[in-house]
Amino acid sequence: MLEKVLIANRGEIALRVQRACKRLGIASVVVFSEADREALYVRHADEAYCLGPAPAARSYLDQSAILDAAALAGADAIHPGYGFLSENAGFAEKVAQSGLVFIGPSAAAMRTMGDKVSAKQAMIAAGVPCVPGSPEALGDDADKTRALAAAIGYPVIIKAAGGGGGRGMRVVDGEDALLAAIALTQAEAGAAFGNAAVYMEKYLLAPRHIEIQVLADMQGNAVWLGERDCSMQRRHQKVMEESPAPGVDAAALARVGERCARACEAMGYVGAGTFEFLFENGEFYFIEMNTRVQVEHPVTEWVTGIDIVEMQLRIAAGEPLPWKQADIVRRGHAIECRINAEHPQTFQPSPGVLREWIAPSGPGVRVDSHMYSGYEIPPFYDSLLGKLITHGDTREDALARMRVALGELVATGIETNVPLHCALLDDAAFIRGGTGIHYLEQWLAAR
Amino acid sequence: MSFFDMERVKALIAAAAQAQVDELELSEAGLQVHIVRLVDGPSAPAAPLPVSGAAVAPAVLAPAGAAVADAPLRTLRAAMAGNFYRAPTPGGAPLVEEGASVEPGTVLGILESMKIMNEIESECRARIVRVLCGDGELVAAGQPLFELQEC
Repeated sequence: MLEKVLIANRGEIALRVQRACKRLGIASVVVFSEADREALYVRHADEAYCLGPAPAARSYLDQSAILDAAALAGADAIHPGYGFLSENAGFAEKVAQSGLVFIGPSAAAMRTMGDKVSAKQAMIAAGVPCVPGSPEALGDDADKTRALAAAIGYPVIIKAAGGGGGRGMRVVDGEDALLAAIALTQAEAGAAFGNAAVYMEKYLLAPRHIEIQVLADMQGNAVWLGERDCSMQRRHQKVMEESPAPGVDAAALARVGERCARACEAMGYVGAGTFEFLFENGEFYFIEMNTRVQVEHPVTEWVTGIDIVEMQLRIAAGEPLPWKQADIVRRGHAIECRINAEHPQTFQPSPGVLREWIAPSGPGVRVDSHMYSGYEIPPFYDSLLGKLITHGDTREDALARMRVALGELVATGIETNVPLHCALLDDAAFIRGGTGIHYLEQWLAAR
Repeated sequence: MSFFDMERVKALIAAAAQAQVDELELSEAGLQVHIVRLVDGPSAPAAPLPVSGAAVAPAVLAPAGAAVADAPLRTLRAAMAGNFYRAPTPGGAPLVEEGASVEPGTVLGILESMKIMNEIESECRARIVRVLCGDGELVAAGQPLFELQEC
């Protein structure tokens, strides 16, 4: 087992990793910026080192400062958490070069999955379903183009190869409009980006975001731990997550989950990871893989009974997975609300002194948070105060417990998004389940 | 007092500051002088939050240290703690310079807080008298950012 782990992160995930270390009898080394000196996990740490000033570039992203602290403390591994350096293959490489264990996959696996094109190629090779589309830029052969669109299925979207940020795209509903739309998009793309090349993909109208959690060991075994539905999003930021995904065929999920686990084995992937998919009309389409622990991992922990962060540490220490896929049993329903320091109507950030913090508790309630009364929330980092997770035998039970928990949460002195969560938990479409990724923004625009 | 006797206005401001009075109002021969002393710091009023989805206008307008009634000087304050930027890109040209005329909604600066870039908008038609913070400076909630003269 590892003896001493440096936690290269902050906030609730630093506390979460520290808890897993303590559980396994591993000494935790915390690194912190000047703005985080008063943090709870700094107080609880076996050793703590100040990395530098508040801005992340001069502290949590300062690779050499982190490696120096690891050397000074005599740590044998580094846990990167999420965000910051967690998906930085160059950092993973430097950690390995320093003779330490990077708690995550190899730098090579991170590079493959970090690039959209190589990730999609790896997924196609492993039989993981991707958004169907033209393998290269569309040519002049009209018949070939029509056949391709028919094979993909309408609606399709024509995208400029050089475009981005939502520009240089056109949705086509049927064959009548196809060639004209391609010509128009090519002309626009040439004018706007200096590159007239366009390609075609299936257009998803109102997809859901469903992701598969995996764990893989160094011995070449991988399992999937079920799915999470993270469709409730605003500006691509997840607001709520739950497992299982309401109303999705279990057999279809098992097929895609199996493919993900086999893809890990094929890639030589090691550690925790998440395959993100868009889901529409019963079909899954791979978007990207996160090669780290995710914010919403507790939802999966609760329905499977597996401590994902503890498993990250065990895998990094070389232990094989203790179960086969058939041993992974899921029970009940879990949901997570991300509690942010932001105004519930305007979403303006709300840093400052948290005068009073009283976390909810009781049966079926878990709170992952580094908050305490009197804590000063710094303006330098993200607004996540913590996560409220509830569990129940059914989705209805989990939602009922979440309503009670949100009502119990006391957070004064700053603004939080708790009222938004309360409103969503009373929303008829959300209660029915299965809303898409655009639902929240449409709901916000209409209220 | 003759029209715009600046030396006398300055003397009045100095007298008000020394006496630590919060407010001083004088009128003489149709000319009115209104001096308000504000204590800097986090005691500034909380931002009136715009009801919209966009993260804009994180700033509060408040009467400035000294103001002449018919051409009031106003101070635009930070609505929250964060890093103040004068340009949208590092090393870029400032959004506004001292002396510039601005309209309601003109973006004067950027306040980065909790990884969100918040545009600081002018709430009125005005002239920028002074920019009170440097580019990249860490500011507290309520800290004065701009001095504006309404027009």
